[in-house]
Amino acid sequence: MSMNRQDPLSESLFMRCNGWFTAWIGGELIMMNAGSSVYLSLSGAGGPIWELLEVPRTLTGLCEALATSYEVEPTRIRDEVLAFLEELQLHHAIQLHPSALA
Amino acid sequence: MSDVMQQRATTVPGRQTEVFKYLISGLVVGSEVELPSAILTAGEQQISAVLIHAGAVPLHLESPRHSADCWEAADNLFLLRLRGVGNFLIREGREIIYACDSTCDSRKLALYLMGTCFAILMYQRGNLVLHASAIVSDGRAMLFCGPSGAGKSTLSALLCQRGYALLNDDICILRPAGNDTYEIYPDGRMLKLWTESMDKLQWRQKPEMAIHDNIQKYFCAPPLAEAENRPVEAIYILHDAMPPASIRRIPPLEGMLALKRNAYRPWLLAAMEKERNFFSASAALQQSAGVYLLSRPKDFSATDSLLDMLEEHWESLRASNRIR
Repeated sequence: MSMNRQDPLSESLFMRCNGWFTAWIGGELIMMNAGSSVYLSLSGAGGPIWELLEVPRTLTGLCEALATSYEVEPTRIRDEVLAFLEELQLHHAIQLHPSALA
Repeated sequence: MSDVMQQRATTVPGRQTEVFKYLISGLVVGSEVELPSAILTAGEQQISAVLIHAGAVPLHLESPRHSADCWEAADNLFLLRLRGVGNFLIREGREIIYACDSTCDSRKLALYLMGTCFAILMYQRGNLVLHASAIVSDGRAMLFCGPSGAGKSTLSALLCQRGYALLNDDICILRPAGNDTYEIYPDGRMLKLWTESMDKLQWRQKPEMAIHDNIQKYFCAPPLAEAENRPVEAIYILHDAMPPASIRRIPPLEGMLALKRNAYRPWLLAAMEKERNFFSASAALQQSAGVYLLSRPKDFSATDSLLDMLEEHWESLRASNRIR
């Protein structure tokens, strides 16, 4: 099964917002926003997703990269990855690339 | 008065005023003010890494990056205006200039110099500064963090009575020692104990002097003081709770928040743009040393079992270090 290429969100670029410091402690990625002093802890695939977002990526691209690492079908993780991205957006850790908003 | 309290002053070349030479957190500090309980250095000819002296302090900085009612901060400059004490300019991690108010005596001045001013200076030098007291167990530093009144000095005093050496009281300056490890330098500070605590501790040593005339709190020399820098092994966050006492390791995120809460004057981190530095250092520290929540009743009930529990914890840390 392939990703739904018709879904506009699948091809939208997600990018990191500025102002976040990060550090790995054990298997957790701890993040802190310098402006708001909000702290986040990313466990499981959360840390690797943040690292993949060092360059802007689409949901499809993220799922394909993660699927390779975790040896799963990209479609099986799509909803979970999307929910995680939405949560990061909620905390102003990532945003849609301006090109997606044009 | 003990030897430590018998201050000696020398004249530093280039300055006419007599200067006391101390060793504070591994730095030679020349001070025109007596700093009760700091370690006087034997090498009077040593060049001071830090100078504390009277001088002209501006009312404002030229281009402050951050400011509030009583302070202004710029790159490597920090101006403090404290009503009833004086104005202070802390510069480039190597100089504290003070202009004392007429109502402020030297003992009160020394409290601010050794507390907030020295912490600012150490932040300027890129160090981690925690509101903590520390003792040494098996050559490693055990820190007890908490706000004023949390019982840091009292717990350290109890451990000193069990034969442990005091490393620091109230303020701990942590310096990177490579491979994400941190070490603490002793600064000779004495325990600051309330009279009530001294009574309950049955503290036998005679207190050296009141930290200030209007406060029933005294500088108390510990029976044994550490002289060497020591690696940090464990950081305990003191938490007042019902018995039984307990120790639990704090997960990473909670640990980061706990360390930030227990930074010495946490507001300084944002004021001095040191949050990133503190964040990275806290993460590194959690990798090399454990951060633990120490829940115990703050009163003096069951102190023996509390100390026994801490000693058992240190033994378990030693055992896991041996396995690693």
